[in-house]
Amino acid sequence: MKYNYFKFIPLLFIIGFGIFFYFSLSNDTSKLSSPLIGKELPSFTVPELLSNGEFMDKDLGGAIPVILNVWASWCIPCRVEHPALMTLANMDEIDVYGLNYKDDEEEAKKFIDELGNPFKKIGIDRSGRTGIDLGVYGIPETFIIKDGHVLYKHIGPIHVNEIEEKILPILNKERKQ
Amino acid sequence: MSTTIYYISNILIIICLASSLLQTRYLFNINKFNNLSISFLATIQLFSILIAFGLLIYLFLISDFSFELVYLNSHSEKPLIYKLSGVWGNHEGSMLLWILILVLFNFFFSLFSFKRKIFQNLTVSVQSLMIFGFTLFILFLSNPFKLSENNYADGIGLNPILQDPLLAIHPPVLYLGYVGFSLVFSFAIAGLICKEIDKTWASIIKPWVFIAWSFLTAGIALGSFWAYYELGWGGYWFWDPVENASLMPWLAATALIHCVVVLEKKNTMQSWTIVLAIMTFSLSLIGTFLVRSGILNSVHTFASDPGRGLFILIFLFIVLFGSFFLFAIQSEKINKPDLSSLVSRSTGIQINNWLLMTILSVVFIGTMYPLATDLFLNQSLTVGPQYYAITITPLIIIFIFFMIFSPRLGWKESKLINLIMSMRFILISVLSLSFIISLYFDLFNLSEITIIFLSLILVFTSLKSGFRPSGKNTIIKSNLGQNIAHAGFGIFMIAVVSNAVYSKEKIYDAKVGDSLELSGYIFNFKKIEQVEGANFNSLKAYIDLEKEEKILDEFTPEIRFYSDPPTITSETSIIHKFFSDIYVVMNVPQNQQSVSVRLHIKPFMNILWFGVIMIILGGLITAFLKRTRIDEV
Amino acid sequence: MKKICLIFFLLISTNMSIAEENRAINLFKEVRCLVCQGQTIHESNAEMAEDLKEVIREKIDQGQTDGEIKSFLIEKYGNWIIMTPPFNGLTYLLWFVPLIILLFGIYFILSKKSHKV
Repeated sequence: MKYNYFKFIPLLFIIGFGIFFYFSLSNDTSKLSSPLIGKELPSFTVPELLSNGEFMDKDLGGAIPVILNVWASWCIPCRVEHPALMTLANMDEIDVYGLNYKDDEEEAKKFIDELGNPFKKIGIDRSGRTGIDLGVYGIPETFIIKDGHVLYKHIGPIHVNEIEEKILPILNKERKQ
Repeated sequence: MSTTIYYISNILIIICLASSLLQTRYLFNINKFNNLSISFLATIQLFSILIAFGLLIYLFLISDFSFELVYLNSHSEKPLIYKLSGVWGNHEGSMLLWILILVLFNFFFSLFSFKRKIFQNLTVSVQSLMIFGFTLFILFLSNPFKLSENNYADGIGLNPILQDPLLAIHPPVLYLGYVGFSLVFSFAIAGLICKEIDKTWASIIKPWVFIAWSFLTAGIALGSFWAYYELGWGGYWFWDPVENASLMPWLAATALIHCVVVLEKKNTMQSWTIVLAIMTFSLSLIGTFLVRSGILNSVHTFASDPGRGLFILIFLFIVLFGSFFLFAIQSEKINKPDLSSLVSRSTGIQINNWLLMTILSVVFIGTMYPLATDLFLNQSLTVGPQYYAITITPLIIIFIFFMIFSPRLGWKESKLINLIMSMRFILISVLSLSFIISLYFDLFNLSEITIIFLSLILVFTSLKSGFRPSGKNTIIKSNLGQNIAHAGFGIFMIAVVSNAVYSKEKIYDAKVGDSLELSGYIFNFKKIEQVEGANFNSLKAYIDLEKEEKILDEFTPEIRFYSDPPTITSETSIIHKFFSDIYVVMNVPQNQQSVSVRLHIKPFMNILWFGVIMIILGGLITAFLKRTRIDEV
Repeated sequence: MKKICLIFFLLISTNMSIAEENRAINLFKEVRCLVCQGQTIHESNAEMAEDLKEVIREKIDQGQTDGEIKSFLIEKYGNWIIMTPPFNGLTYLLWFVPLIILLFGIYFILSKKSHKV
C-alpha cells in the first residue's frame, strides 16, 4: 500500500508533546528560581534588631559560606521553620544571619525570646526595600552566600530533613573548595 | 446507611465500566450489528451513572460528612443551591458530571435509527471507549464516593469564590460543549474506519456539531462573565492559562463547523474536517489535562495531582496517537477532489480556517512556552495579554475581511473583479475613513479603527443578507443562523475594541464622606456598615452615583468574610447602563482610616454580551433549522 | 493569619505629574504580582504589590526610564515578573512560530488552488 508519509508527521509531534508533558508533570513551576543565584549580593545596610549596630552585606562576605534567612514574626511558616534554623545554628562552623522582614520590632523580639535565637546578627528591613533588592517575595526565604555571591536560594520553610538533603551538601561542597 | 450508599454507588460505576467495555465490541467486528443491544447497553450506562450522580447530589443535600468529598467541599450551613453546585464544584464530582454527559450523548445517539447501522455502531463503540477510560479514571483515581476515615461534625465548605449562581451552571454548560465534541470525534473515527466521509456523514453530524459548539461558546461566555463581576479585576478575559485551555477547543471547533458546512454542500475538505474533529476533542482533553494536573500557574486550577495528570496524559496520548495514525493510513481513501477555484467561497473558508489555526497556535504557544522554558532552560517567563494582543490583532483584521467577502462569493468560482467592483464604494470609503480617523483621533490607532470599520461592514452585510428573502416562498433563509452569528461576531469585535480604548479607571483611598470623581461622574461615599449574610459577614459600602447634581443610582460593593473555609472575597457592584457599565470594587481594608476603592467605567459591555448571545443564537438556529432528514441515510 | 497590625504605607504621589502618573500606571500593568498568580500589581492590593508600586514610583521620580526600571525588576525577580515577554534569544520561537504557521498555510492553500486559475 502507498501512504503519504507527510501524514505521519503529526505523530512525531504527538510523541514529542507527550514526552514534554510527561516531564512537565514532575516539574514544579510554582517555585521560581532566583536570577540572583551566582550573582553578587546586592549591597545593603540596615539597623540591627538586638543591638544598636548595623547589619550589612559585608557581614556576609567571607570565604566560608553563611546562611541568610528572611523571616518575620507574623509569618506562620517561619514559626514552623524555626527549629530547623536552631539545628543549623548549633552545628559547627555554620553561621546563620537573619533579616527581619516588614515586622514590628517588639513582636520580633518576642518571637526570638520565645523560640530561641539562631542568628548571629539580625537586620531590620522595616520597609521591605532590602527584601525587594534580594528578590524576596514569599517569606521565609533562605540564601546561602559565599564570597559575597549568592549560591543558593530556598523558598518556603526548610524542613528538618532538608538540612541533610539540601543545605548541608552545598555547605560541605563549598567548604572543601 | 453511608456504607450502603458507598457500595451501591461503586457497584453502579463498575456496571457502567463493564457495559461500556462490552459496547466497544463492534470495533473488532464491524459487520455484526444488533440494534437492541446497542441501545440497551447505552441505557444501562445512562441509568447507572444517572443514579450514581443522583446519589452524590443526595449526599451533598443531606450533608453526609462520612464521605470525604462532601466533607471537603460542603458545609451544613451553606445555602441549598451551593450544596447542589458543590457537587460539581470540585474535581471528583465534575468528572462524574463529565461522564454523565458522555453517556447522555451516547444514549441519545444510540436511539436514532440510521439506515447505515455500521456508522452508528462504530460511533457508539468509540464513544463507549471514552466512557470506559473516564469511568476507570474516577473509579481508581478520583472516586467521588470515598468514605473518610474520621468522623467530622461539619464540612470544610465550598470555596466562597465559587459560591455564585452563575458558577453553578457554568461547568454543566461547558461540559455539554466539551463532551459534545466527543461524539463528533467518535463519529469522525467511525467515518474513517468505514472510509465514507461524505455529504450524508456531514448532514448527520451537523446538528450535533452546532449544538456542541453553541454550548461551548455559552460555557466560555459564562466563565468570562463570572470573572468579570466576581474577580473584580475590571476585565472579562485575562489570557489566563485555564481560559486559554477552553479557548483552544473553541477555535478548532469554529473551524470545524465551517468545514462540516462545506462538506455537506460540496463534498470536499474531508481531511480538514476529520483533523479538526480529532483536534477539537483532543484540545478539550488537553485542557482537562492542563487544568487537573496542576502543571499550570493559574487562578482557576482546582485539583492538582500528578497521578491523575499521568492518567489523563496517557489517555490523551492514546486518543491522539490512535486517531492520527488511523488518519494517516486512511486519509488518502477519503479525500474527494476540491473542484473550486482560487476565488471561491471554499477558498475563503479555508483561509479563515487557517487563520483560526494560526490564532490557535498563538494561544497554544503562549500557554506552553513558559512551561517549556522552565523545563528546559530553568527560566521563568510570563506571557501576558500584550503578547496575544500584538499577535492576534493583525490576524483578526484579515479574518474579518474574509468573513465579509467569502459569503458573497460563489461556491465554485467567482470573478474577483466583479466582487471588488460591487463593493468598491464601501471598500474605498471605509479604508480612507479609517485612515483619516486614525490620524485625527490619536485615541484610536490604525489597527483598532480598521477592526471597527470592518466589523461594521460585517454587521451590515450579514444582517442584510440574513433577513432579506431571496426566493418567492422563502421567508427564513437557510443561512439565517450563519448571518446572525457573523453579525454577532462583528458586534462583539466592535465592543471589544471600543471597550479596550474607552475604559476608564481610578483607584482612591477613600473615607466615608469623600466624593470621588471619574470622567464626569461623582461617587459619594455615604457610609460603610456590617451586614450579616446567609453564611458570611460582610462590610458593605454605600456609594451614590451622581452626575450633574443628580443622584442616579447607588452602589453597594461588599467585602465578605466567610468562615467555612476562612476566605475573604470582594463583591463588585455594577450598574449596567445602556452604553457602559460602571463598576465599583472595594479592596480588603488594610487599616482603620480608609479603604481602597477602585472605580471603572467599562463602555459597551452590554453590547459585548449581546454580540456573544447572537453568536450562540446563530449556532443554535443552524443546528435546528432546515436539517437534512436523518432517515434518508 | 490575618496581618492586622500592619505597617501601612500611604501611596502619596503628590509630586508626580499626570504624565508621570500615567507612566507609572502603564508600568504597573506590566509588572506581575508575585504573590497573587496571574494578576498584575496594578490589579492587586497585596502588600507585596504595594511595595513594588512604591519602588516604581520612586524610580520614576529619580528620572529612570521604563526600560531601566524593568531591567531592575528582571535582575531581581527574573523575566517572570514582566507581563509581556521580551524579544530576545529566549523568545524568538514564541514570536516567530505563529508567523511561520501562517505563511505555511498561505503557501499550502495557494499551491493547492493555483493550478485551477
